[in-house]
Amino acid sequence: MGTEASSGTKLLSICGDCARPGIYEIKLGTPLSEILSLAGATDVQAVLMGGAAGGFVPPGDFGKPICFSGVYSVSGAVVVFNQQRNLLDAVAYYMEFFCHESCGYCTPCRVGNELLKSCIDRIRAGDGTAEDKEYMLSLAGVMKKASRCGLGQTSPNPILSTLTSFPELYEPRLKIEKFKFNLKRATEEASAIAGHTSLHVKEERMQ
Amino acid sequence: MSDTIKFRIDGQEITAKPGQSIIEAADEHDVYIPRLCYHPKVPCHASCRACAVKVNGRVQPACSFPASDGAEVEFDTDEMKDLRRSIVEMLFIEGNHFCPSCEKSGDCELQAVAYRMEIESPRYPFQFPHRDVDASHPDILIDHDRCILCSRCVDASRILDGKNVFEFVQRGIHKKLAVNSDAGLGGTNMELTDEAVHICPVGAILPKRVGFKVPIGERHYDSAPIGSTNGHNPATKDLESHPEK
Repeated sequence: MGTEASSGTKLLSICGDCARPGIYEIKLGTPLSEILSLAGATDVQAVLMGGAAGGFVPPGDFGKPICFSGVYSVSGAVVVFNQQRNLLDAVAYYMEFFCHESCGYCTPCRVGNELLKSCIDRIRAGDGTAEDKEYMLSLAGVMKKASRCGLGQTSPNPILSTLTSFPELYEPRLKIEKFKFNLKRATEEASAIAGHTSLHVKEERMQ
Repeated sequence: MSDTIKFRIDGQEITAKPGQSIIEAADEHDVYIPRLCYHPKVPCHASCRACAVKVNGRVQPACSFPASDGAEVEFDTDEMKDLRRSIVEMLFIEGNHFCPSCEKSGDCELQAVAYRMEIESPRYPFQFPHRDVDASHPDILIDHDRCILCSRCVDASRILDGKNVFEFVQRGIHKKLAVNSDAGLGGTNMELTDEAVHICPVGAILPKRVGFKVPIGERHYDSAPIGSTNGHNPATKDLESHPEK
């Protein structure tokens, strides 16, 4: 049963946007698309294979078999995201999860997860720049290579897999020009404490 | 089993005794691998990752990874230099390290390693965390702004001083050093003569009232980079032939 290189069956826990979530035992080698129809998932935008530290699989790869050489979920976790979901919000959610999960023992995981999370948040807030993609790739590389345990070595995966398979999530949000200082946002906290807005912010708004 | 292990660091043959780590063997051969949490007086913690090297193609901390026969260690490569530099930069941005106003400047291992790595400014954004100062002890000050969570004081207090003054609390980016008293360091049995005071690689644990007794310019790392013979870290030797650039 299964394929020559990946024999036997696999238990998958399928959840998310599908009519019949649950635990499925499947033959290894079964195409992902077949599993999706078993679970009653339609209008699928992405499937997260392997939980938070796994990877987002795009529709173009749904025909691939579930096995070691195809698409695989080591943990068995499969999360379905339909077209209504904002994938970048999901990525940010998983990074928040890793910031919380990091025990703080080693530097790359303790600091790296925070930096990745704040970069994703910056992109979501509309302040992403063309350099952010390279920045996240290099930061993720440091974490993967130098983290002490599997958490820091795999936590950049939601970002890395979406950068590869869903570049359209990022590209429109990464402005070509250099980062422009947002005076209003930078002074928001101080303005709230002072009870009035800075004169410079008012002038900027009038321009 | 042979009593001598032979392996290579960037092609240079290094001999080691069984059980020695890569960093211990490298120190004996005057190959200086940067390190911050590692100190020969306390158990290896391997948390800072500043000593990352590639062993047989895989990144490992040189301080905890045992030397093994025939291993090929990549140390002075562009990739590994950038990786180590990147990790030290992370340590700078996660705390508040204002070298010009820090009385450890010139004696600080973090600063010295950064100079040796030629870090001018970090590639990551400063986090400016809010951290406290504990001045409750009559002779010792803790400035959490500068703590790099190396665990040297935690282990030194427990093992060398026979006390249990320090422990880490919380997790992730919020992980911090705590003391064994609600009243702060002043409520513990810590004394100025404790090893835990003097083992701190940065300016986080400082003896009071001696701040600038040794003037700037005459301090350990003012005349020669860390890893040179006149550096105060006993694990380091004269390594002018291996500049960490």
